[in-house]
Amino acid sequence: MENKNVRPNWDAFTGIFSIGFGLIYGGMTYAMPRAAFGNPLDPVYFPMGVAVLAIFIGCILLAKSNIKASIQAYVDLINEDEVKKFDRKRILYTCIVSIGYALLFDPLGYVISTFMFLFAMLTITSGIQEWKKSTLVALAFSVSVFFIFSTLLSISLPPLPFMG
Amino acid sequence: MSDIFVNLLNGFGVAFQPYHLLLVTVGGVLGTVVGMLPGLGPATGVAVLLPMTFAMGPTAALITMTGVYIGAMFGGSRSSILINTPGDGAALAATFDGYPMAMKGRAESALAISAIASLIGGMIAAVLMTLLAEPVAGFALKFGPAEYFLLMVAALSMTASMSKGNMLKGFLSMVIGLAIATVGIDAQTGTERFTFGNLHLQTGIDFLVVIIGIYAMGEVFKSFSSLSKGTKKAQTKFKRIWIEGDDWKRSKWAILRSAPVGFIIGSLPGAGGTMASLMCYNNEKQLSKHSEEFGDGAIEGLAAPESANNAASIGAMIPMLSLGVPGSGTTAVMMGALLMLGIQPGPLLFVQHADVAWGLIASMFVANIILAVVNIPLAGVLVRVLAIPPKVLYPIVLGLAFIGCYAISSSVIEFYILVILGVAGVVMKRANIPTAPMILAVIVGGTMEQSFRQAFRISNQDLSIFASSTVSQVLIAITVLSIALPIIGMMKKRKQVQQPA
Repeated sequence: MENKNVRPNWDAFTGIFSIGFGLIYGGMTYAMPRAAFGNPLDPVYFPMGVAVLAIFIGCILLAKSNIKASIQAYVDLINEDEVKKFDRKRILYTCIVSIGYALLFDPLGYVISTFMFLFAMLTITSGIQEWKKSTLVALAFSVSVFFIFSTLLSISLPPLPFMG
Repeated sequence: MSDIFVNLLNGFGVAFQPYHLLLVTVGGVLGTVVGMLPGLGPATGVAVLLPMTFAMGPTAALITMTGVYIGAMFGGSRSSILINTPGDGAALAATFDGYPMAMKGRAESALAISAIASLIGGMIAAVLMTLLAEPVAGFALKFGPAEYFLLMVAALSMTASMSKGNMLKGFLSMVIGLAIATVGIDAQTGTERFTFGNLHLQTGIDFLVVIIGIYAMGEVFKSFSSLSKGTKKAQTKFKRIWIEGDDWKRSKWAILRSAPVGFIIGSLPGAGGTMASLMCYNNEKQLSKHSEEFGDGAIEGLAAPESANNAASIGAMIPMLSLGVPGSGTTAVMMGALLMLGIQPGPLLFVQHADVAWGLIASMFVANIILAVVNIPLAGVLVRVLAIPPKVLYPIVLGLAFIGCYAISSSVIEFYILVILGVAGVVMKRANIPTAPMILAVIVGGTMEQSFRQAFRISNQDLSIFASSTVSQVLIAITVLSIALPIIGMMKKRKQVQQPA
């Protein structure tokens, strides 16, 4: 019951992250090739300062925080209701679909890859039962954006593969 | 003074060209529509609509972006009033009395006073901006690299320490932003930093990608939770949208008082529209004879924040245009737009690109008037956008984010960065880490480092150059105060809490 008294927050983990980030970033800065001319340490000073600042902020955050509160926040996160878990799943699916989009963008061209991306996204948000509407929206978006960008704004986008 | 007048007239000459009037109107309407969408504020609006301007010349592009920016500020409060969901933080205060007014069947008055207050607030701020922008830039012309470095340090520390209640996390956010800014080939020595051998990373991570990632992707990710909650239906049928009875009498002083306050707060880095509108709301609540009605549909409670909010959005343009240091997320995006067009905002802008600078200032006046004209009679048509279900809207915003990103870099590597940043936006929200300091740091980080190194070299590696001029000393004092004041405030509060116990 004792844990119920602490207000869950992520401060301790944030502090640990900050220290870890500072150490890794600082380590990478230290390992960086030195400048070929001028003061060899010139490109190192600024990132090193940033790393030191990150570690410093992390230490204060950690010192001020309560690790129990962060553990509680983690426990709360795991025990969240199904609806919230589903929201997070949606984020995960979106990331996967977006990576697929990045992979297919050049080989399939803008219109086809965007149609697929949008159809997948609309299915994630609206469900498969609305596939007709999703198809329509995805088609309208990909074709009209392609037209607006390549014709009106003269920004070159990868065309359809058989036109390439 | 007469110089300013002549310059402004020249600016109007640019802004009044029919093509530019058309652009500001189109940008304004699109901005209003995007700003209205719940969760998508002006920063996202400008970021997503940015590619639209790539084919235009700098002046036309900037005028369009001004339309989008001011349109988004106008639009932000529509959803506050009608569905109690602010388009962005700055429109939050509009929910306090705007929504109760709509609930009482006074949506028409609420929409009208919000547009009128925005117009007057915006106009007063545009006048102040006309008077102040060039003198501030003239003053900053005397800055050497040491002063520039300190100016950026001051802006960053103010932004970070204004992150309410979690200053440390504000600084952490800043540190991450600075780290992102160091990716790429070092401009002075050609050393590769943090590129992991990737060719695309050699030019660094474009900060527009960071902005689109954090705002567009991050906001959509955060808004996924609203998909499960279902949506509120907005009123879309209205009588004549105009104020009635003693509405004007009650709101006029609130509007006039809030505009200069909003402008000043907006011009401080980090403070921005949210703080301005909340502060003016509280001021009016204390000053009003009808303070008991606040929160229950008091019209001055809507007029004050609306005026302040719009004034702040224009005030925020001052540090961006005159000093090259954006004070808010949205002005950061505007600065990104300028840099994309090959124009470096800062003190030299008024010398080298006077037509752009004054064209922009003049178009603020024009945009405010056009938007009031568009927003009052057409509010009924525009708010139909609120009827688009979010489940259709969010995928479209993502689609626009990706295309915007591709238009900037012509490479899909940025798509991956976009996804990482979108997730980072959600995680940062969870951990209560503000994103504004990070965005600002990504933008000024590069220049800040270069200024530091220049100053260091000029002085033969003598650090005393950073405290040698009066300007430097004042900037150091501001930085120290911006960190010390919140700490002292916190300690006082803690004492007060302990005393009664």
